[in-house]
Amino acid sequence: MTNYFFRVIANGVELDTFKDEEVLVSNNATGLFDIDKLPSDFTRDLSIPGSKKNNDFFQHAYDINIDTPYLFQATTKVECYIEISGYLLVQGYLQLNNVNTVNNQVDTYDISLYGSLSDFSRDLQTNLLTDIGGLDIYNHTSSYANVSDSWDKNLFNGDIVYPLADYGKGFFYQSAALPGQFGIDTRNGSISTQDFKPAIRVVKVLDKIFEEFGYTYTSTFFSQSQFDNFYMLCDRDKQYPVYDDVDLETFGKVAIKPTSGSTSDIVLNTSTYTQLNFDNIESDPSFVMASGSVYQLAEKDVLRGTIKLQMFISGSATGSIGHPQLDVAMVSSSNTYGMDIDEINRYLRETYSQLQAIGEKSYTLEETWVSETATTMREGDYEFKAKYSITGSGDFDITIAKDGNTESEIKVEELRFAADNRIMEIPQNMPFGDSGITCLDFLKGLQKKFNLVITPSKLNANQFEIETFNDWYKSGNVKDLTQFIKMDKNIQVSPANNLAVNELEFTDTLGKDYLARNFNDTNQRTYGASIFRDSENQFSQGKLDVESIFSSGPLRYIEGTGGTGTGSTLGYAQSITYNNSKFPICNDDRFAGTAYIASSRGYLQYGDVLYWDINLTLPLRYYFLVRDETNGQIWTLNTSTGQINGVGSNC
Amino acid sequence: MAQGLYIPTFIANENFDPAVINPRVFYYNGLKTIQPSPVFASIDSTRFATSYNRPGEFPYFDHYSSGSTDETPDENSDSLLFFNEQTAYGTLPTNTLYTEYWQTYIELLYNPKTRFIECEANLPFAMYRNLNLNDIVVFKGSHFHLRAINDYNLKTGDCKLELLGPIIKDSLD
Repeated sequence: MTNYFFRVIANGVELDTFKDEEVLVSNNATGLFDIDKLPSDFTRDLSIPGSKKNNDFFQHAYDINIDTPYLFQATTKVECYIEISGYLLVQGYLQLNNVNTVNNQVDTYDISLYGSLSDFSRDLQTNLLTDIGGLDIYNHTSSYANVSDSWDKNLFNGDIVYPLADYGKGFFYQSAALPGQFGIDTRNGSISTQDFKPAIRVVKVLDKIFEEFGYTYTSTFFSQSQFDNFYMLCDRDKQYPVYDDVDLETFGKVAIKPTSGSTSDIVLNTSTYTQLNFDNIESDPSFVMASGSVYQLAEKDVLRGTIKLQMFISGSATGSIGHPQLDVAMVSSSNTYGMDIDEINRYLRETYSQLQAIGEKSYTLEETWVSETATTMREGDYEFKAKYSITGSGDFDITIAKDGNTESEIKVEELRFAADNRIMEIPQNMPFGDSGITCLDFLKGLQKKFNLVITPSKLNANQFEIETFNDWYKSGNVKDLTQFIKMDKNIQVSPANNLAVNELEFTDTLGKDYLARNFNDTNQRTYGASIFRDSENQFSQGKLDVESIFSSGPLRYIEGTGGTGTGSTLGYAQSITYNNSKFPICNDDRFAGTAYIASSRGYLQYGDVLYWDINLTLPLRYYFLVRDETNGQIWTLNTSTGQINGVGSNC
Repeated sequence: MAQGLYIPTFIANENFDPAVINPRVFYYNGLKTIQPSPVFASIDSTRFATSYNRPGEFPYFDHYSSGSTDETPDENSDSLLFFNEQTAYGTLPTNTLYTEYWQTYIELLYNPKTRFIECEANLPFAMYRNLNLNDIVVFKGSHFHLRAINDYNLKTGDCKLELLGPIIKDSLD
């Protein structure tokens, strides 16, 4: 090559080089035989002389004291580009590795030159998805309005959508519920904002990664419309989303029990509440329990938990006896909110209806409770209290935790509106895995899923082109190299598959997800994995996993959903729709949705039973008002049966 | 017959403890009708009024994109799996990540007729700069994929080439 010259320009300064420096460079096609690696471009180690110009440059760029050169900042990257005979060879950065001195004079500098792709890979390797600060443009208020708006792609133009997914709550429908449980199709078991985690458009994450580190990319592949609907879950691993100001995993949760060996029986009576003075605090991670077994509720909310009561019931009545019914409540100085314990009361009712004498009996009964209120519980300091009533006759006496029994327990397990109106910060909710998901892992994951080729642009600095292999290999040009290939040198020809492994497994990472692992155990393979075996070549050996950082697993069937109803055998089912915004009849507890009745008359009337489903199998329970949109009539409902039992009015 | 509700679930064990999971990606296929639907509870920004909604739909996320006629997958849907597993809704798509993005490439590598050629060359710098790794190289009248240009000496132009051929059949389209 004539007039060969080699220039390294760093921060605009042309560094002195040894004129006899021979530079060899290599270019390899993405992933051929190295499928699991990102391509790298120019990387070269060089020695350059300790000339005055170079000393000045490195003293400035690396803060080198010539007398103590070992103190320089080795981690500093300096932008540079390399020219060969006036042509730009590569743009990237320079890193100083060593300063070599002889007789207290700098002799040479050992430097590494990296192409921009190498630089990019390094940046991506050292930053996690949770570090992408630019994603904060997607921060928003957590609310059902935003959740439901996102479903129509009205939240950030569809960049954020909230899936319905189960992160550990164990969703089921009421028809599959055990006694005392509430399905998500009931008001008491309803899903709230905290049960939703956002998903973000994958392409937007990709955009922000490039933007964050000062790069751009072009891609006809990711511009396709299918990627408008391609989302990554923002799941930081816990049951609830992550918020700055509160840990929802523990917020408001407590477990309290009677003190072991206590001699203070809790004797209930029928007229006034008696405190369930469970002063053994088993768990109170958010410090909401005050002395005296007082639960401090900071904000208006609906509480849910479990209650286990060890009861000693005694009495002398015989013959036709009635049955006791417990009334457990959270009581503050100004408010009393009942706790729904229907199942415990049903047990007592059914048990004593079959007995001829009260006698002395002990029971330990447990069920899920929800604060039973037409509105929500107001903030305040609450004691758990209980009393009972007697239906029919009988001298029932009820004692809780008799003789120091410690089986009883009250748990608050959820505050339904704990997440509402908090700020959802997208960066800190990005996937983290066990120890952080690097941006490089994410990009390589996409590369492996879609067999992407990532190449630095030859036209624009810090720009990359991302295409699938299928598009990439067809976009090159035909170039005849016959005259440049040395025919007098050895030309080695070998079957390509001799160089490849015998087995390739294309798979997502198995991960720790139970459903995916269960699938793997049952089927002896990873969910969604494809295995290629080279059956043609008997010499190839080994196995290579083309494994993305992403995981996959089967969708879960929610128990109790679907059904085998045969349609409306009870008459004509009719849809009646109610609208929250147009006809505000009451701020709480109205029914807003579609219900069905066994009639085709076109309007509601006294005695109708409203059902959730068109097959008329699930009565509309837990609501006390309904508005007939066809004529504006407001009716009251029996909250247990869904039957219209009177004429209502606006609140 | 009403269809059941199938949703992504991320748990560590059968007790439904939350799981530490790797990133999960899905297609969002829009809202899908479900009757009865779950009840969604919310409280307003002043924490005064609560509401309970039953939208009759749920946001449907799946490993497969929606089909051409509705939100459920059909045989032409895109897949995010290398091997398509049984669908919760709709019809199993034909294409997988493997068939769509990898098969051509793997068939090139593993075709018994594909030859890997290593040779030496001397390329002018201008030629070197203009060569792209997706270029098709003609050598003695035959076409090859350019696998690598190794040890290109910027001073002399000497280098080692790696070629693969015959080329994928639609490379010249």
